[in-house]
Amino acid sequence: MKSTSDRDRQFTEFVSVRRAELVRVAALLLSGDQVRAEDAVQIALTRLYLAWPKVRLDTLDAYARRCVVNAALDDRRRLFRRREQAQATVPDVAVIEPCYADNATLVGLLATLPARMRAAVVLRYVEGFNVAETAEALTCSEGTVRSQSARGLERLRAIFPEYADSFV
Amino acid sequence: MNDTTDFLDALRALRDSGGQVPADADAVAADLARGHRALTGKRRRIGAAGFVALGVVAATMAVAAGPFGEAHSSMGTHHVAQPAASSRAESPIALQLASYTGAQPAGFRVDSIPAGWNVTSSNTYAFLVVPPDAGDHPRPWLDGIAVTLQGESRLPADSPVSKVTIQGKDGQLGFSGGREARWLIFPEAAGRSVLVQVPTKLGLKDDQIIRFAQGVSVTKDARALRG
Repeated sequence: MKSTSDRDRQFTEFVSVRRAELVRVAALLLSGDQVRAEDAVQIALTRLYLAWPKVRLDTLDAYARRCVVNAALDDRRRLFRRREQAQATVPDVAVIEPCYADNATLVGLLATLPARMRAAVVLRYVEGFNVAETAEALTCSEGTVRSQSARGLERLRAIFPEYADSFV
Repeated sequence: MNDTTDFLDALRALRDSGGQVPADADAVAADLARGHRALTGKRRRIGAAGFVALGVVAATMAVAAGPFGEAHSSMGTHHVAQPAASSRAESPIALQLASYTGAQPAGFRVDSIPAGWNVTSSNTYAFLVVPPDAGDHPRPWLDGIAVTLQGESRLPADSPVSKVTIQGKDGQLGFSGGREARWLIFPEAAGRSVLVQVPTKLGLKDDQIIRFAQGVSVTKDARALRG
């Protein structure tokens, strides 16, 4: 059994190296919102700390990713419940230009996808995870990952028809 | 470079949009502090749940005004052993019940509480009061009297049990597992069972606990704790 000092030392080392990366992933999952991404990572790291004695060192990265994905998806649900309000007028909607020349445009493009579909696309095509790793992070089947990522790319193709060949 | 490569490369390039530098030391320290707080809270909840699981439910309401220790006994014929010796048990406290005029808990009604004691919780699950010497961070489940529904708590098989009469109905007075607390269990009007838990270390006599319970009633909103 790990002592508290061992846990603290190992946790600190892990967070020092991985934290910024986790925030970046969370931001992609949350449509580029850095504040919500930071919140999600804080929640995820707290869960990770609590689970630390039960997590094997060789699975730490995968476990941390799963915590971040869960926190990001939970965050979206919380915000929906908290912020959903009737509006007298239709809000302005950002128009995504058919160009991915900069990261902001790409993040905006990803933001058009449903949360879990976006997560599948981000983990597979941005983070470079294979299907099994993505399924583990999303806590779903590999078949679901394949279908979600494929549909995600189809939607992107619909938005950017000029790059249809990219999504075949 | 074709379009496919361009687009997928652009997606992959998002990996380089940040997150490659070591985290700020203050942020890491804050993460560790949050972890410590969460761990402390988790351990506290587990401890409280374990205590409840032992059957500790406690008490509060009491009844008629008058010295807690001088009440008449409505005990049955079985003798209940007195709590193990402790500083308090060696000199039973002579609590005075005072009319309770504070907000009534959503789940319970209380006529009176020990004079000078403080109510720390009153909700649909429990009514908790602690003695005035409980300090700034009282542990009501360990140091005070609690009233809850019985839930899944049961008197241990090895506990001595006395038959008592509470509000005209048969009740049982015994000990929790490990004899850390006295448990008084009796039915309320709607048929649910109420559990009054009094830490053994308080040294209350049986008739004190009984008089205390005589003033406890339950509303329809009361809910049982799990465990």
